[in-house]
This record gives sequence, C-alpha cells and structure tokens, in this order.
Amino acid sequence: MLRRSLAGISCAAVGLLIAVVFRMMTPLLKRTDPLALILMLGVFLAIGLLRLPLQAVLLVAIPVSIGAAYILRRKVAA
Amino acid sequence: MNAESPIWALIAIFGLMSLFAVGGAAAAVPEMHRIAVEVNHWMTDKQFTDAYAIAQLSPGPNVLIVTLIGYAVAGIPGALAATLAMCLPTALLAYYVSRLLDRPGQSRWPGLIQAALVPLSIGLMAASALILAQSTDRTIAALRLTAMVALIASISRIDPLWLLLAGRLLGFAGIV
Repeated sequence: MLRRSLAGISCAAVGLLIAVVFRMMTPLLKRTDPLALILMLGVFLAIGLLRLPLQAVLLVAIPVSIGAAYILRRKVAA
Repeated sequence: MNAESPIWALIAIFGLMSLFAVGGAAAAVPEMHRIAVEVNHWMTDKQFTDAYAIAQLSPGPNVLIVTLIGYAVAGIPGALAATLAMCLPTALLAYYVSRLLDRPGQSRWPGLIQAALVPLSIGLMAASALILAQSTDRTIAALRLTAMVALIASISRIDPLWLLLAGRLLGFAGIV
C-alpha cells in the first residue's frame, strides 16, 4: 500500500520538478543569450546523460560562465 | 569508529557536494544518485526515488533527501552526519562570501555571479528530472501522470501538495 502510494507520489514529484525547470527556463529562453543556453544544455548533457562527476563538470562550467557573463557585461557597459 | 566507517564517507562526500550544489538540493540530485546508487550501491534506484518523493512530500527543506540517504547507509548517526555535512560547509561559505561582498566596491559581483550560475543550475535541475524520471516513469500510466502534473503545475498556480496528493491517490488505487 505504502509502496504503491510512493510510486504515485514519485511520478507527481518528477512532474513538479519538470514544471519548475520550465518556469526557470522561460526568462532564459526569452533573453536569447546563446552562451547561457549552450552552458545550460552542456551541463544537462554532461550530468544527465554522460553521468560525469558534478565537481569536474562545475570546475569547468563555473569559470566559463562567470567569464562569459563578465565579458558580456563589459560589452553592454561600453 | 574506524577509518572505514561509512559515517566518514558520508561526511566527506556530502561536505564536498554541498559546496558544489549550485541551485540547491534539486540540482545535486544527479550527483547524489551517482554516488548513492551507481558508485557505492548504498540504495537501489527505487529506494532513491522513494527518498526523493518522501523529501518532497515532507514539510521542510528538500535537502531532507540527504538525511534519508544517510539513514539508509548508517541509521540515525548516518542521517545526522549526512545532514550536517550537507548544510554546515555551505552555510559557512555563504556567511563569509556575503561578508566579503558587503565591502564597498564589490557591488557588481553578486549580480554577475548569480547571472552566471542560473543557466548552470537550470541544466542541473533538468538532469535531476531526467534521472528521476528514468527510474520512476517505467510505465505509460506513470509517464502520463508525470506529464499531467508537469502541465498542470506549469499553467496553474495550484499548491504542489495537491498534485502530490493526487499522485498518491492514483498510486494507491494501483493506476500508476
């Protein structure tokens, strides 16, 4: 009984997570910042499909993303 | 307590993970799954998704899934160790970073770093959804329920608890 209930709750919980992801993604898609989208997709593929360790992926992705955001901001300011 | 005690493994793993959990517990789910299910075989795939569901259903922070993993590995001490390891380093880091950023002349960095981390945490959360769906949505009915909940939660402002309750009832009825 608990087993079956939990299976249903799991399905719903995954659905909720998907909804949150879409809700967060919407402003990003509207901004059409290609590098942010590439980074998002890259992290998704590296972690979700290739199952690489989190630390390794983020040690590359965080500096790249911060660097890109910094350059982008300087361009906008200039 | 000897050096091979799983408690130390829990502390080391979650202590490190907490510093890399960009976007909170939901973003760290793939790494938790990799370590708890694939590398160490502490839990089965099913037990992991159950732990995620329980953490979602319970009041309190989602990081509760760490408590459940710790419990599965080493009982109550494991639950305490894993929870503290996941929360303490990150809290200290947040405290010191926020003090650093309070200094004058640093005002543009918080916004910049935040903007840089947002796409990464969305990518991580999407990976979480994929990994959890792979073990949860094994039947067409389960997949449909997940899709329906995702749709309803996206277009309405309904309290997520109602959707979890609906999932529970459908599960209990043996439909999914």
